[in-house]
Amino acid sequence: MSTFKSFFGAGERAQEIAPFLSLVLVLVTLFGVLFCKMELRRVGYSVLKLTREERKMRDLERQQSIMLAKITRPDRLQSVADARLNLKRAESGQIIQMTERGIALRE
Amino acid sequence: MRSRIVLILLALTLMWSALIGRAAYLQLIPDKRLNALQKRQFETVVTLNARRGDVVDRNGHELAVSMTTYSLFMDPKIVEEPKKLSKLLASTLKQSQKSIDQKLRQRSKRFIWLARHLDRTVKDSLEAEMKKQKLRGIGFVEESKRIYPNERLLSQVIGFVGEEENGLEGLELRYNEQLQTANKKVNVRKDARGRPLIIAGHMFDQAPEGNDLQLTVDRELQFVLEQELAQTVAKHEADSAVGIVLDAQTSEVLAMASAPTFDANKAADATPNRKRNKVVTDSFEPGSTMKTFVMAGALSDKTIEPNTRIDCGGGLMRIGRRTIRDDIHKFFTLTASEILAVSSNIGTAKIAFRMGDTKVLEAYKKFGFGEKSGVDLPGEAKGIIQSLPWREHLLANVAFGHGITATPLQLANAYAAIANGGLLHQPYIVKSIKNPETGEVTDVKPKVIRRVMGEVEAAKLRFMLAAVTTKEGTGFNARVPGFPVAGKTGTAQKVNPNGRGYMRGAYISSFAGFLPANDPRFVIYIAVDHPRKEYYGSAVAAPVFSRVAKFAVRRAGLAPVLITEANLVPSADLTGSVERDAAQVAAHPIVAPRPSQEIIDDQTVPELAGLTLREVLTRVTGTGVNVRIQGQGVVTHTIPAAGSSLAARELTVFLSK
Repeated sequence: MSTFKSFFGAGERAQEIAPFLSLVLVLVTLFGVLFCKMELRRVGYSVLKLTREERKMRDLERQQSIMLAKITRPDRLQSVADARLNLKRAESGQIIQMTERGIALRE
Repeated sequence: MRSRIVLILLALTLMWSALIGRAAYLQLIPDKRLNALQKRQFETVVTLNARRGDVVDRNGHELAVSMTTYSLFMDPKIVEEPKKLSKLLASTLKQSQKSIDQKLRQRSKRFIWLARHLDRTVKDSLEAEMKKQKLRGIGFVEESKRIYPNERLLSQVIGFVGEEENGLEGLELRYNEQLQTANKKVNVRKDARGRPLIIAGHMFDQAPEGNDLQLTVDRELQFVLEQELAQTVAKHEADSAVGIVLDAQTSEVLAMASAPTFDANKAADATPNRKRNKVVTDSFEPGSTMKTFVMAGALSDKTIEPNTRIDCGGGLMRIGRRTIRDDIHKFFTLTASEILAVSSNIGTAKIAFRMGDTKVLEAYKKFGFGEKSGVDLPGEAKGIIQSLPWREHLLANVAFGHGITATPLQLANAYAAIANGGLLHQPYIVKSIKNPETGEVTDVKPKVIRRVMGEVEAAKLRFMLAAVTTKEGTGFNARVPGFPVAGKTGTAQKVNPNGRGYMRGAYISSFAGFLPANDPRFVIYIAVDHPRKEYYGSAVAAPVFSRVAKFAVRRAGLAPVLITEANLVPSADLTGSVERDAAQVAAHPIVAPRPSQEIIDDQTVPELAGLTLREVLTRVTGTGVNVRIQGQGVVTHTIPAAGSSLAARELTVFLSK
């Protein structure tokens, strides 16, 4: 109160300004509340938009991983190896296995 | 004048009081109807679509997955420009304009499906075009679609789902409860345009997800098995073929297949015969692969030892009016081991006679025949065993695998019991179940059903089965270079499905076995139904076993234990002294389970030179000495040498032809 009085002057002037100040305070508070509510709603819409975007990205990622699984399935790899790369399956005696004991064995 | 003013004031006060009172009543006293009205006006329900859980193999490769798709519907009543809309839909959906026009003419209906399960790109492009041309009357519903990226691979085991993603067959059906979860509905406040207002935080990323399943199956091994079965069916013009690979120690299913198979993405187009997982649903007369269990019973109750000699009657035996024959060869006196190796029907029947029907039945039941194995797959058959008493000819038939039926899974699991030292496990295919929301993983542990035979008897039987794949045995074609293979061939007559008796010239050729015989890791069973070019199990199924087994050991990174000159790569660096050979001996010794009478009572290495591998193993069984084998043929020398001390209880035997 003493600060209030020292700022606005003592006595009658302070009493004159007090109701106006109260009204201003109430209005500022109301505007503050309104602003917060509007901000909350605005942020809500942004979150909604981003959530949808995130879901879209997740779906896309899932789609890509399914695509990867499809194109790397064993029978497709084999057909690509056979038809495009002209690779052939190893036959008996063509695989040489090194054992941990330093022996090379033909399989 | 004053009284009038008072009257008016009073009236106004009364009116205001009534209004305030009514407002207070509406606001403070709960009213269901008004609450519902308010809810409808200010709230909306957001449905969070549930995702069905994934199915992956033991290495995390996707086998069954679900993805979000968009289904297109139309409300003909609000369509303003039907011609324009049908043209756009026909070009985007690649449907005929005529069929869309027909749907558009159904003005009385408010909801008509136009296309199901479109992907996001189609949806986005259609929506953009609708906006551009200012068209209305269509909408999208978000749905989930099951995809099987590997198409035919493991399709009979995984099964498939219906239009609403309910499991209809296979694992999809068996684990439907775990994989599926209900859609989540959330009530949220909405704005004037009907958009949900996010007040309760981030609820939109909390879509419910079903549990993920990890299988014990290895995708690559499964592929090789399926490919081999398909090639065998084509090569031998067979009706079908089945195969299964189990972990010998735990009965985990590593691969399971039937040929021909089907594409799980187009399940509706496949015939029921192709969709059936024959490994668990079909039981048939297995033939000679059952002889192994007669031997197991006889070894367990001490009716025979591997070297017990049986008179095989020169290939003919009369039982009443019936005659039992041995195929191709006519044998006179054979040991029990040789009976198994050459698959003598008469020898096995005579052993069964010594045991009696009760003990043979008991042996079969111990190994799980005639009851479900308890595998976590639907539709399992338990097979048929006739009730006692059995007449002599039935006992003989049952001893060599006729007059009894079993599923491929039962057979493989029973062989696994022999391979692991006598414990029958419950086979299983789901390795773990993961809850994606909590991250909690529930591992499935191997489960022992019972002990079916002693460790010593199991070891003896393994040696007997290893003799089947020697040059004299019927399973010679099942050998795998570098690895000792134990197993048994089977050639069973096929039962006539349309009448009594057996089909003429129709057989089921099979091979059941495991490897490496000294330290089994894989149990493999192969059966080919009605091969038309050849029919002996040794010629049809054993080579398939060999190829699948070869891949399995290579994939597992197992080092060969049978080191022969044939598979040794010659190199100056690799030939060395006896001491160096000793350092290169195989890492998987044959561990004899308990001391026996034959060999090495003292601490001295006996003279083994000139003996065959089988003779050495017979003498060593049960002594507690770790034996390592190198080469093929007869024994040339040992480390430590004959006469030396055997304090280390380790013996390396070198063989040469």
